[in-house]
Amino acid sequence: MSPEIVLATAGLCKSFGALRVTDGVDLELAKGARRALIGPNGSGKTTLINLLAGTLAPSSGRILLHGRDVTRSSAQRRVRYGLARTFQITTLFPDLTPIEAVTMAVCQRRGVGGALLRPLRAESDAIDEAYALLQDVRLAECCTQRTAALAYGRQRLLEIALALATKPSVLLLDEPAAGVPQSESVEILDVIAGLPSDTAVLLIEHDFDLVFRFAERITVLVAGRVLREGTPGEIARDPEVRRVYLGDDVHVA
Amino acid sequence: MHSPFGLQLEGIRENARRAPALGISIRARTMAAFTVSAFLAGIAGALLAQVTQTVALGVLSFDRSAAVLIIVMLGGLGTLIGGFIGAAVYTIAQDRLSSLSPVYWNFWIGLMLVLFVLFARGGIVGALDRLGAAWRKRRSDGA
Repeated sequence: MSPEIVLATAGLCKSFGALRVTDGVDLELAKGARRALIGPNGSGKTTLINLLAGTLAPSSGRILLHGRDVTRSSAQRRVRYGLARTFQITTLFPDLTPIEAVTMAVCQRRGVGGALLRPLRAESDAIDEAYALLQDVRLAECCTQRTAALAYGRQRLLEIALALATKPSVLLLDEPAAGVPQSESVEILDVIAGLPSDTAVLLIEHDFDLVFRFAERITVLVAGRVLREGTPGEIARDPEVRRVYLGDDVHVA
Repeated sequence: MHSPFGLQLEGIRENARRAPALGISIRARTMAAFTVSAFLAGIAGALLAQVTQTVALGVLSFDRSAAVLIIVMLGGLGTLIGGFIGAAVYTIAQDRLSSLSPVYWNFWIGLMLVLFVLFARGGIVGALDRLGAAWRKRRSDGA
């Protein structure tokens, strides 16, 4: 029996005026998949994430989440159906502390986010869960500092923690280690390697080390189209991929 | 604000782009916030009508809306006590200034507002908070 498909797109297109940024993308993610999405700059990777997450509306095509058509659903509805994302450019709550921000997301998922007359103290379960999440991403000791005062690498970890607080079955990671110094990126690698095994992960990343270590399958996007899809070994050997993207001098161990 | 709802409002103010990515509906939350504040404003209006015994068109004028904004900014945004302090200070200042300079009292109120915005963003409550914190720090340093 083939594994359950949690996220699928069919003929997904997005045009900005005459410019076709996403051009007939068919993508399938199985439960617990570890998939990387690579491609040269401007190949439409982030646009694809924005389409999947509901930040942009596609020009045509369909998006299915757990078999349910979400093509026209709002971003927040997709989150409730189990789809979460992180942002390439850190998008956090500067004046909140990590524990506040993650508790806010946990409360939302538990359906008490709109509780007006209930003190936050009464939600100790949610606070405990948020703290455990922050421990998982190694942010426990700075969880009461202002987010804006955190080191950049830590802010990237908080991005992931916020997405995880929604308990996603599909997680879209948009360059989680972008701009992080080498010394701090190790922690991010650890966190990504330790993501829940039943969550399907789609990772955009330029760092090939990370991509080839993490991904079970790789999708190569060029000019908005899927050029190839395969295992890391197949992608590394593919002459077409090498020509347009990797460059001939790339060797993969 | 010490409820999950209040936390979400802070989150929406901080980053309206991230909130939907956490499943938070901005429209639903801001709608609820405006409903609550309209409810409270309605009570205030009813009280005003009770006290003044008349409701003239003047209550809808810009002057009163502006006065309320100035009161809140003088007292301190986002604090309950700030509103009370701001109202007292504004009313006293208006009274004194209009007897000092019946024509230009608006100017002095405006100047006061500008000074507060420039030098004391948190209003009177914010300034008192900072003073208190500095005083505690000095005491703990000295001890």
